[in-house]
Amino acid sequence: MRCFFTVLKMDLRNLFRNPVLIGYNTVFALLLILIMGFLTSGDYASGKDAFQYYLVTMLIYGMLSGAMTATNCFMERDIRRPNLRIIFSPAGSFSVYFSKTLASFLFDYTMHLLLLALLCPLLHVTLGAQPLYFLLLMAPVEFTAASLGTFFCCLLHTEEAASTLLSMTISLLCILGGTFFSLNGMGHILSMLSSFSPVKWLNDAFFALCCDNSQALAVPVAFGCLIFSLLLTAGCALFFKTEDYL
Amino acid sequence: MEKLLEVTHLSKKFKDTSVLNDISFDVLRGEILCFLGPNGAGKSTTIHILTAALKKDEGNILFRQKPITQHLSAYKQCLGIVPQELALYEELSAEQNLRFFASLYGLHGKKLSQAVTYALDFAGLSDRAHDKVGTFSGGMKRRLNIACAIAHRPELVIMDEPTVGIDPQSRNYILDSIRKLRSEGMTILYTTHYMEEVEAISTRILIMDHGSIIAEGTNESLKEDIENEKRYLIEVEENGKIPLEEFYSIEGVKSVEIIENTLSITSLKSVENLDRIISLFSVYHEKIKNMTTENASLETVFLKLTGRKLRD
Amino acid sequence: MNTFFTVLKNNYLRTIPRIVPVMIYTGVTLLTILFSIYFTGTQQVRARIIYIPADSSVSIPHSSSALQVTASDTAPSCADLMKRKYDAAIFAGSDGSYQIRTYLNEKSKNMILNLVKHPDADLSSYEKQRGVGVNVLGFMMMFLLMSALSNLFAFSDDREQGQLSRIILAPISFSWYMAAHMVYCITLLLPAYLLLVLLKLLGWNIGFSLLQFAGLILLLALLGISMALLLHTLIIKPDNANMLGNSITVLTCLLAGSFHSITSRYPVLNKATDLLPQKKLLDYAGYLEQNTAAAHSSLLYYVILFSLFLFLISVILLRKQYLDKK
Repeated sequence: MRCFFTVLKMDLRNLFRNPVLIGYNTVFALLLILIMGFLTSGDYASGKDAFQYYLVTMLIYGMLSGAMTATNCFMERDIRRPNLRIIFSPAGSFSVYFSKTLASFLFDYTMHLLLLALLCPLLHVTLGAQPLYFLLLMAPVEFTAASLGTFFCCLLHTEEAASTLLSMTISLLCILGGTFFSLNGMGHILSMLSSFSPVKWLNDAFFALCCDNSQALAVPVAFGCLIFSLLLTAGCALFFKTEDYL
Repeated sequence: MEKLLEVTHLSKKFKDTSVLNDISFDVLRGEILCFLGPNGAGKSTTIHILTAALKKDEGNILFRQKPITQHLSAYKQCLGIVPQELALYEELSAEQNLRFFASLYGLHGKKLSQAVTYALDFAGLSDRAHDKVGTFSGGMKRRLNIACAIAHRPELVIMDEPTVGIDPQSRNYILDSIRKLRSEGMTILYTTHYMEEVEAISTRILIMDHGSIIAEGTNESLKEDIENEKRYLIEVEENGKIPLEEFYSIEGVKSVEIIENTLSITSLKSVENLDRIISLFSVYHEKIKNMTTENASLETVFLKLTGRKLRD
Repeated sequence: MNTFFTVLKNNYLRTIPRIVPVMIYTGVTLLTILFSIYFTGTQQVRARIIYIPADSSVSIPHSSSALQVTASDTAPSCADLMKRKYDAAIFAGSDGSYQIRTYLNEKSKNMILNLVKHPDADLSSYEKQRGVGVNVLGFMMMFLLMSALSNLFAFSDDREQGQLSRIILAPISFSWYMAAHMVYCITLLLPAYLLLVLLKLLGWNIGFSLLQFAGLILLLALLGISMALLLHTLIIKPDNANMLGNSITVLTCLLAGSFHSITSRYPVLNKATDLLPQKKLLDYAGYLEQNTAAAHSSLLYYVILFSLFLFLISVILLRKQYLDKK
């Protein structure tokens, strides 16, 4: 256990000292929310409503993009070899990949919480009557994204391939899920396709929390995320083979 | 001497290619056992199986008379691995790297600090402890790479070609350090394709080629057969003028090989026949471009065993 | 010229182990083209409302191509209105009056009320719809630019791993070396163009002629390559450059309205987004669809000059880093 925490500490150190990742998880998300909010504020009666919409949707996009944090943490070129040196130690394979998932989750969650702490009072945006539920629901989503990134690394063995596939997939799912603009008025087929996108379920759950103060969707979404994370972690155990990295 | 590691009938295949063919050997406590062989001989594959990073197809590996699979974590605790490629966090300092890797072997608190100090002294990097590894020279990185493996004072240190790509000064430093590790009680398993390193530090040698161990013994015992021999390498302008029988008619000449425009003549050391060999060239008007003399070496041993040079 | 073909051939060889990311980008770009054509062909509903009549005597307006009506006894949740599942909730009184609950602006409110009263009304005065050509260009824009960033891997790897220093020492032409990388990137965008050719041959309406599309895609490629080159010149680590480049691409394409036209209530912001080359290109494409592009060729020149400017900075920096040391 001590070994695991040693590795976790190192991973967290690598993440918090990476300005590109910090920027990607804060500045990029901040810019997206602010700019999209400003630009579309003309479509709304109150400019605040544009920010309300894009804070939630872009936050979800940002949380899912946290998968790229995990791929970077695991197999970024400069730290790939020292990360894999751990294979030879008594720490074991589980420490190698699960510490990346946990470290990425903690890092992304911290960054996004800081972002909300800054933007909510600034933009007068609400997270619902009980913001704690909103913040709590973010945790399983962040963890799922981190697990996804680690899993893809175990599957594809390189950060580049994993990040490319993930960024494309996440962008597509977000477009289908109505993150950037609503697809509801674009025909029956698209509306139907949209309903299959997990991003849509996330949007529904988070909007229900902040606009209707309803936790009805939060519980199934959280549960679904946890199950999916477990499956992904099991997938890592299946696909991570030390001999592939020798 | 006590057997620390016993390897029996080890085999490994990658797809249909056999990379290890039923090899068996022991590692004795306190020795420096060198694996010598060309690239592709199977040295690194053997190392990776011993470190449990790669699964074997057949065979047994016992550590202190117990199968390593039965107590893998405890076995790994006793190992120190120096990988062939540098595996260091370049953005961190030498001390931070050592702290991290030593912690993985259960060290913490005061013991960890002592281990880090010991490792920095060993690597000669005490004055650069707080500098980022990215600012180090290649030789310094190699030394740190080794230091990260021995900080926790393992029983068995496995080094996979640790001196690749460094200057002679750093190499000598590393070889001296390895002798020092042995004097401190560690057992070293060392792979290389540089015979000079093997001759400098080994207590015992295993020569590998094409996945098999083709010779085993000490430096002296391996060269015994050929110690009374010397080899003349004579480069000529145009080969084929002198019939080979002429050389064999000279007393002491054991074998003659032609490698492109170079004649490799093996002769007994006890017989002074160089003048007669040279005179043949004069008789047949064969112009000598260059000539060197070689005494018995591991290179010669390998050549005798395989018909190829170590670096072919 | 020898340098050009040597480097180009080497780049194709280096593509083989990276075929997965290349195929992913290509596949997604092709999908977005098909999606954009379908999306334009679909009649877009302009307003989706929940209609809550006061009592059974109140008649419910019929749905039309522009208006989607869902009758209900209860009002929609705030969340449904916020995330635009419904644009508005209409409370219809028995006296024929309407109360509207929506987050949208006055203009949209008026449009919705007009549609409720006249479901088949002509809405051309409210908002102009984009043509299929502009939509195709807009949808594939983000992915083509991201592809250009990814496809410049050969150059970025040469820089990071030191091969570029070695190449410079050889008797080669630096210009031909760079040209080879650019041509390589452009050729990897060919599948997108070939799909458009196929669709055109199958009789689909793709908005522009094949020659026009060739020109537009080439411009987009040049823009993407010049941006990618600058990023890889400024940032040594390819992973960091790609991450930053993708972020910039997503942001600027959204701002430029590649998926959906965006206008802000703040003129300053509108002016700022107008400076984006993607916006200029989309505007030009819009004029091209209306056959008035000739009068707006300045938009085209802007995109070309912008690309050339980025390219020039990259070349100056590279020369400083590598050639002036020779």
